[in-house]
This record gives sequence, structure tokens and C-alpha cells, in this order.
Amino acid sequence: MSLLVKSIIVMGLLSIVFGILLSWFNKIFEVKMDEKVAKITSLLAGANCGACGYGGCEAFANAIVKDGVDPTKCKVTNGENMTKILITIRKNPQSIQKLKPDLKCVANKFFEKKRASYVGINDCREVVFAFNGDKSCDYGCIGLGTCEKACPFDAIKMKDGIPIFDYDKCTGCGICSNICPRNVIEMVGWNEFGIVMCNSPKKGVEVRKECTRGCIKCGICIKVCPTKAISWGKNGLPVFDMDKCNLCNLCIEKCPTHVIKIQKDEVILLIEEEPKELKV
Amino acid sequence: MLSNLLKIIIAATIVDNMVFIRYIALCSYVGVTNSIDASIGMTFAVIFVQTIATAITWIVFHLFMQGLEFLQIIVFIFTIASLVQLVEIYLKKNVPSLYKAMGIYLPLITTNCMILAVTLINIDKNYSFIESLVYAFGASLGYGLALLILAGVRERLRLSNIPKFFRGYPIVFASMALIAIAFLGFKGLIK
Repeated sequence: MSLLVKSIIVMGLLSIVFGILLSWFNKIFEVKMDEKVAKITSLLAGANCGACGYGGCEAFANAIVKDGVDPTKCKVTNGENMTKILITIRKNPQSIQKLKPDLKCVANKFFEKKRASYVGINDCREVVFAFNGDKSCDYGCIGLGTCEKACPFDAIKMKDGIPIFDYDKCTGCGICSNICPRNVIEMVGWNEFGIVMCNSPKKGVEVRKECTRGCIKCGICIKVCPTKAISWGKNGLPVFDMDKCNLCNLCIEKCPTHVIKIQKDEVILLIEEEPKELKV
Repeated sequence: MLSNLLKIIIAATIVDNMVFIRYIALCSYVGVTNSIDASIGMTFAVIFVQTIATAITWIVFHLFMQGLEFLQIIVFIFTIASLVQLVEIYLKKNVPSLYKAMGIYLPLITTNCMILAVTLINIDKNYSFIESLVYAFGASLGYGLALLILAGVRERLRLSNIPKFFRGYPIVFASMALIAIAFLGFKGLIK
């Protein structure tokens, strides 16, 4: 009997002591959470992708409120919620320039040229260390799907050796563009862009040797453009000024290797070449 | 005295490793070894909680529980759970950087069976206060060592070509078993 009484006393005493301690601690060490931070956290996308450079959405919301960081650094949050966030911190909601990824390479398994065969770790970043991989071109897509694995939104699927982007799922966070060791994924405007789907800065003859579908720097697109919207860029590839472009489709028709792609709003202009029979 | 403590710490860390020799705390062990970063965070949180929990439970046992040994498990779990809560509330307010670094691991550790096991073993072996603290520190150090080893192995595994039926947890358990066999070699290091 005394054992029973003793155990009840000990247990009761301990629970009372710990209970009082807990409630007391709760009161004196209370942390007040900022209302603005809580609201912004709930408005942010909540993917915790880290593309903004902060450790998760809550840390980013904290930085927005306390350090005055620009909330548009978050590429994932949709326009409606971003407007609400900007109103919350009393900033004028400006127009938000959204970007999406696109591949500057068309060399899938039908168009590429190989110089060796690669057996090893299935990761593009490793291939860059291993003699730059099996494709002849040192600038194009390697095609082992590092971007597919890195995409937190499951928006990239590898098809015939190059990534295909699903823009319904894509949020434009830019993780794939950053992780690609060849920098062949370019972030372009969501509704309006023109790119050359080749990343090689080499001269035409060498590009011809290395790939069947590369930009050969012939300059036909620049000569043929009626509005002078195309000019030579920094790395020897043509660049497009979309304000001048009038969608005449001339450059796309004249391009000998069909590597130009132009989009303005709903109109997408490009020529998809049928894969030829592989030469043996 | 000092040599005795050294013996205890080596025994707890390597010879009597919680994960590989006693097979305790396997759940959290497999859970957080996904990456080396996570396992380092977990290691520090375990060392912290384990040492404090041992100190408090030792005092509680030797002050209040003479003749009530059958209540050990209940009282210890109760004590550890409230203790971790108290520490968490304190850290949140006063040392937010440490609170952030330990993150989710702190409350998770409350239910880690290793914390309870070490406190029970301490009572079982009749260690003095200092000895039990050293044993607790050594045991959590051994747990951290085990975490780091497996985390390193798993980071390598992710890039290697594994047979399809071995992918996921089977290969993790297979590699764990191999490491455990290696740890058996330390038996007899201390008499």
C-alpha cells in the first residue's frame, strides 16, 4: 500500500512541477511572430525551392519584411499573390517580368554526332569532368537529365536525349538553368522571345563537323530581316530584339539548319526538321 | 579517475556503439542519413539533448525514486519530453540561431529510443553523476559517427548503378549491416 501511495506522490509531484515549469516558461519566453511575416509566408508559393537565395519561404518572408528585400526575387509565386504581397509591404505592384527556360540546342539522338561512347555516372555534371562527354560538340546538351532530376516541379521530361519543358507545370524558378554545367538552358521571356537553338560559338565549318543542326554563323537571318531586329551577339550567335520583330517568318524560312525559334504571345514560329535516317 | 572516464567514452563511442552493436535508434538513423548536412545537425542536437537528459534523469532517479525502480521508464520518458520542451521554448527566445540550426530535430529527438536507452543503461550500470554524463556524451558521439559514415555511403550510393531490386532501402540496410560487421572488430578493445 505504501508503495502505491509513494509512486502516486512521486508521479504527481513530478507532473505538477513540470506542468508549472512549462506554462511558466511559455509565458516568460514568449516569442511574438510578426503578423506581416506570417501573411507573406502564406501568400508565397510554399515550394521551399530556394531559388530566391534564402533557406525556404519563411526565411524569405522574414527578409522581405526586415531587410526590405525585393519580393519579386521569388519567381514561383503567381501574379495575383505577388500583387497582394507588394500591397502588404506598401509597394506599388509593378509589372512582373516572368521568365521561362528554353533549350539552346536541338541535337537529340537523331541530329547529334558522337566521337566516343560514354559509360559512367549518369549525371551531366560528372560528364564535364570526364573528357567532356561523348558528343562531338563541347557546348550543346549532354542529355543525361541532370535538369530533369533537379526540377522540383516535375516539369522536365527527357525525350530522345534532350529535355522537353512542360510549361503548364513550369514556374520559371531557374533551377534547371543554374544546374546545367553547359549553360545550355537559357531563361527567356515567358510570352516573347527569340533564340537561336544552338550554343556553340565556333565557326561554321567546325560546327558542321560536330553537329547536323547547329548555327553555322552564315548571317543570312541578319541580312534577310526587314526590320533589323537581329544582330550579332557577344558569343558570335545572333540575338533578337523582340520590340522590332514583326513576325515575318523570313529568318526562320531562310535559316539553313532551322535553328531559330521565335515566340510572341500565342504565336510560336519554328521549323521542326524530321529526323533523317542515320548514316552508318 | 581520468583513465576510467576515457575508458567509458571509448567504450560508449566505438566498442558499444549504439547503432552498430546495440541496434538502437535505427528509425531516426535511417531517416536523417539522406545527406551529410542533415546528419551533422542531428548529431549536435542529439549530443545536446542526450547530455542534458542524462543529467536530469540521474538526479530525479537518485533523489525521488528509491524503491520505485519499476516506474523508471514512465518517469524517464516523461522527464525527457518535458525537458526537451523547456529547452526548446528557451532556445526559441534567447538563442534563435541555435534553435534554427537544430530545427525540426529537437522535438523529434524527444521520442528517440536512444535517449531513453542511454539513461536506463546509466542507472543499470550504477554510474556516478560524472561517469553517466561522460557515457551519454560518448554514446551520442558514437551515434554521430555512425550517422556520418552512413550519410557518406548513401551520398555515394545515389550516383552508383544499383541493381533494380536493391534500390532504395534494401541497399541502405545492406550497407548498414556491412558497417556493423566492421564495428564488431572493435570488440575486446577494452576489458
